[in-house]
Amino acid sequence: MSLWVDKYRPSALSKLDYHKEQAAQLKNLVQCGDFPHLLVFGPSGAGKKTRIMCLLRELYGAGVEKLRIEHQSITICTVLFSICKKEGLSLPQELARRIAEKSGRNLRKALLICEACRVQQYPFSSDQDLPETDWEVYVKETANAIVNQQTPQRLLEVRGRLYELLTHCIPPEVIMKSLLTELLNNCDGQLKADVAQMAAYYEHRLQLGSKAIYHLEAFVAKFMSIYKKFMEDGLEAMMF
Amino acid sequence: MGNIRRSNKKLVEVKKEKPRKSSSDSGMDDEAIARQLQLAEDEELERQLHEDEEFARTLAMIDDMPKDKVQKVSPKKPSSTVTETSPAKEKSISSGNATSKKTSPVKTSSKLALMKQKDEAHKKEKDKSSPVSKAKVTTPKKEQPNAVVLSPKKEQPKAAVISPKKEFTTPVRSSQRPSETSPEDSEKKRGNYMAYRNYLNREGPKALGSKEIPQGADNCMEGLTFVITGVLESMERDEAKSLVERYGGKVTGNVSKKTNYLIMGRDAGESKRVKAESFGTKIIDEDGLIDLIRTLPGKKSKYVIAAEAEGKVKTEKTPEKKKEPQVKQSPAKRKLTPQKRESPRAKKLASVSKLSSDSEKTSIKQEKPASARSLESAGGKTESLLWVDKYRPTSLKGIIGQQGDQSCANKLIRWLKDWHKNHSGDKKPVAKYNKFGGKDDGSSSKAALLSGPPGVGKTTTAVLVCEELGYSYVELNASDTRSKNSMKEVVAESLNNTSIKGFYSGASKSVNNKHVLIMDEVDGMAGNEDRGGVQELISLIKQSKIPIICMCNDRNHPKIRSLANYCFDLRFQRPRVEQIKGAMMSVAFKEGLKIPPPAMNEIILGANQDIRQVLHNLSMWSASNKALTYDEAKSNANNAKKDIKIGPFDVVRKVFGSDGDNSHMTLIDKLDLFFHDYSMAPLFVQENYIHVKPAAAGGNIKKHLLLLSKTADSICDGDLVDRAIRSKQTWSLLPTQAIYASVLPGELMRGYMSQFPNFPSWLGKYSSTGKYDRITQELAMHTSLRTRTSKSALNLDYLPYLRDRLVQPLINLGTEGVQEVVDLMDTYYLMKEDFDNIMEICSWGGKPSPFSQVDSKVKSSFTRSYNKESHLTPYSLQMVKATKRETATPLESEYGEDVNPEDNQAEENEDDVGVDAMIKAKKAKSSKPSKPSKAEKDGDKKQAKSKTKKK
Repeated sequence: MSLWVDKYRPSALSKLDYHKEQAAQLKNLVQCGDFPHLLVFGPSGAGKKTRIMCLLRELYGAGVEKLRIEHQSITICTVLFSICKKEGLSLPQELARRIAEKSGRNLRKALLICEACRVQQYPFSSDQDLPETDWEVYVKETANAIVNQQTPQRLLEVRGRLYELLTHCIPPEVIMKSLLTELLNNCDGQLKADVAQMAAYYEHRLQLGSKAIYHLEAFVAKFMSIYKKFMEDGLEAMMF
Repeated sequence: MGNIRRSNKKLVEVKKEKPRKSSSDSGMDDEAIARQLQLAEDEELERQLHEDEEFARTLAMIDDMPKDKVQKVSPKKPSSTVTETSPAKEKSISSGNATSKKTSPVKTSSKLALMKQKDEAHKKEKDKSSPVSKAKVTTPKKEQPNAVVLSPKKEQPKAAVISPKKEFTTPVRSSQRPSETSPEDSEKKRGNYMAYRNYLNREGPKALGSKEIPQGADNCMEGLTFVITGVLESMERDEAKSLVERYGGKVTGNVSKKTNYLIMGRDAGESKRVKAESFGTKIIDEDGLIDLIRTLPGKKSKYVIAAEAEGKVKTEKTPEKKKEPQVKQSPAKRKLTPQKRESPRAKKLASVSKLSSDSEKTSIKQEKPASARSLESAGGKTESLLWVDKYRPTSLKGIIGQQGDQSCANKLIRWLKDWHKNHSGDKKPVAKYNKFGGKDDGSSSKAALLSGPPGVGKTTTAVLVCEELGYSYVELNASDTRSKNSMKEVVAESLNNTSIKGFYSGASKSVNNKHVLIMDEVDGMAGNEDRGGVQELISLIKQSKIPIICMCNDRNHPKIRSLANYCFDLRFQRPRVEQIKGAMMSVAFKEGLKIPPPAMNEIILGANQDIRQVLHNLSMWSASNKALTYDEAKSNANNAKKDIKIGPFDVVRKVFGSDGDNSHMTLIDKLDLFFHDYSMAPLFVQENYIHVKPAAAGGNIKKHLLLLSKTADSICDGDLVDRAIRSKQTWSLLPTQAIYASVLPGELMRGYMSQFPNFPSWLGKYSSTGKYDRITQELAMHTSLRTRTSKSALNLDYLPYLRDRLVQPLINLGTEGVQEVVDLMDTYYLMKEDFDNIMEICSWGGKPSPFSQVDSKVKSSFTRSYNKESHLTPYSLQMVKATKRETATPLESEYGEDVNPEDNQAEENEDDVGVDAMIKAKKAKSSKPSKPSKAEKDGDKKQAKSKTKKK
């Protein structure tokens, strides 16, 4: 039994409770056949997504609901299943989903991981470790190093690691992105947004400049500075 | 050929007859003065070294020492000497005994008195011991008995007394030291640490410029030594120092017996105060210093006195047309000695002069007319010459800083002397000395390499050494074309030549084969002009029948390094300030230039101990004004400092201000730092900013991190500007880059750098990135038919898994797995090189690749079974071999799914391309990993890089 908020969610434009004129307009739009791009905005809980789902239902019929699960994962999962079938393997549903998520909607990667899983362990279990590439592991370690300690010495070590990644021809954008993903796991609240914004800023400048290491390092330095401050301020707040 | 200079030296025979001739012209009297001043300086220094508590103590101990021990400890003396001189010594020691025991710690004056007493005691024994002691006097000396010039003087064999004493001091001191310090070590350490922390956080002067500094009398502080400790309230320490120096005083770092005043400020160092009290040094504050300046009477500088004395002689002698330089010298000498009664060195010198003049009296007499002539002719020419040429040393003894027995000049002489002996005939040269054992006298090398900073006298030394030994020489320098071909033509020929010059002028009966090739500035052999020059020079050295002397500034330059392997390595150091000072003062005096000695110090330091530069500067500044004050000289010297090129390591130190003098730097000065080398400076700053402990953070880690982050941001801005400059050629933005990449980081991080600056790792990383990039590109190309993916996707996604598939069977199954791996490689069209490359590119953080865990037996079986089979590849192996660019592109489009070894280029053996051909081709490939198509792509990047490298 779902929560009331989901249980009583309207599923058709005609059933919406407020902004009825707007709902009528949308209905007309759908019927006239030339559907434009829409920008829907408003505060959270105002019913934007509900309205959109209604609209889609109006457009495409009841099938819309079935597509609720992420489009790409589904595809990747199907491919994985079909391949495993051809290979004569049985792939658990859960593992397929995890591989698909891990691959970042990259089918090639998904298949490579799947095969590596097969090498690693068969029969499959749905909670087995997904083998990661060396550079992913390396980035993860780097992120942990950054989070564990914020000192100039650590910054130096991180510089060495960043250099290592760069010399292995890992594109700096990729480094930045995976680093950010790992770092965000250790941030919360406002800090998360700040760090993400920072990363975007430095990544942009990275494209403008010529020496990637400078910008990556500047990002790390900035993160260290902010993170240290955040942690210490938090600690003080807790004490008083 | 017009620009090859030949020496004007005549014949060996002639020279051997009058070897002194060259040394006895106008340069002679300056030499003497210079040496004397220098000696006085040296002596002062030496005295400072020994003038401490230990020395006083040892002195007392020596006096107590029994006689037989004395004899044992001084092994230098021949036994006959000891017996002869010992009564004198005994006497002197016993006489000194009384005095030194009473006043330990001995004051300077009392010790001098002691020395004097000994001296007198010795004098009495003079008649008996003189012949032996004379010989003895010369040995412990650093100076050479050059003093032919000096007049005969009363003999005072002082050195004999002093030298044994010095020998004693060392063992005693070393035995006493450790026992004194060890017990309270740890506590002291902690105390020191706290003191250091305090020192770092200490505030600056509070009331700068609040006190008026009076005008003191000239040279009023001469002979006084000061130590400054703590923070002075009204002036910076540098100011105080220059104030003292202006009036002829000296500021040293540590309190010793010699120190006259300790100037104490706020937060002064405790140890200095304690030390000063124990020595009885007067302790004053800054007001005391000001009072001193106000009250002390002026003095005449010893340099001025010396110079004046010489001047008097000159005026006396001018009517006689400067006939006898050695006689002319004598009154000055006499005049000097009484004033310097505290310097036993001068007396030593005098005794030496006596000795040498005795032995060479006859030769001097012969020389007189000749030297007079040369003087006259020199006098006529000098007006138009630069000072540098006018006062160029004319004999080896005039070269500043090359007087020691182990000096480069003497080593070079010995090497050259023995050259023909060592390399005569077809005898194979002796194997080179091993680098760690024993001293290399260069006997195995056919060439010598003189290296050192500019203006220390490398060329002069080389030329004079050649002249001294009677070699004629051919000099090639940077103004000559020294490419491979021209060297072959010009130099190689002359190496086998024999000079008939002497033969024709009739003086020599045989043809003289003593000549030398001097290659000046070999590090300048660069660019198109001199292509292949260094290699050619090396091969010339190998075959040469004559000695070759090469010279360069930077011995560690990669180009020179290869050359240095074939050369006798002689490194010239910058002479010490004291060594230069004396000579420069005498030059200044001769030119009628009035410069206070402390000012000369500044000038020499300002020119970075470059003698040539000092002379040029003097001549330039004196053009308008014949008397330079201390302040003028200092500001001039500071201006000159800016013209000195400093290396990037020093630049980065200055940027972060670890040496303390940046507080006076203007923005422009800081900008200039960047422009010492604008392509390297940003790299150096970026590499090293993390190592700096910023003063602004005050030990707060949060602040420190914030500063680091700000600095990194600024460096990034610099990088953006750099990109704009390099991609759009907007060089006018360079100053902007300077601000972002150097000045701002310097401002933010200003502080203390804990280590020597590192060389930017970016350059190395950049090139290894390039290498890996090439490898992945190649792999992507080779596997493209299977993977159908881009280079970066291959690198990010494929390779790690592919690597595992390639290695796992070998690890798990051993030799069983070999076939599986080979099959996999064939499927992906990988070659053995590709396999190795994959292993290399997939290793991280210096960890060994998994392949290294594979058993070596399995490895070799893998290699064997791979080589056994033929492997067909869809790509042409010849293509890589062909270096022409055009071949790369058309072939790529011609790949079919099927194996197609057809090659447009290799038509002749197209049909025969079998197993062997393929394997051979592979080998050829491994030697040429670079790919033309890639080179094209990276062209612009590389250009940018090569630019960087050039600078």
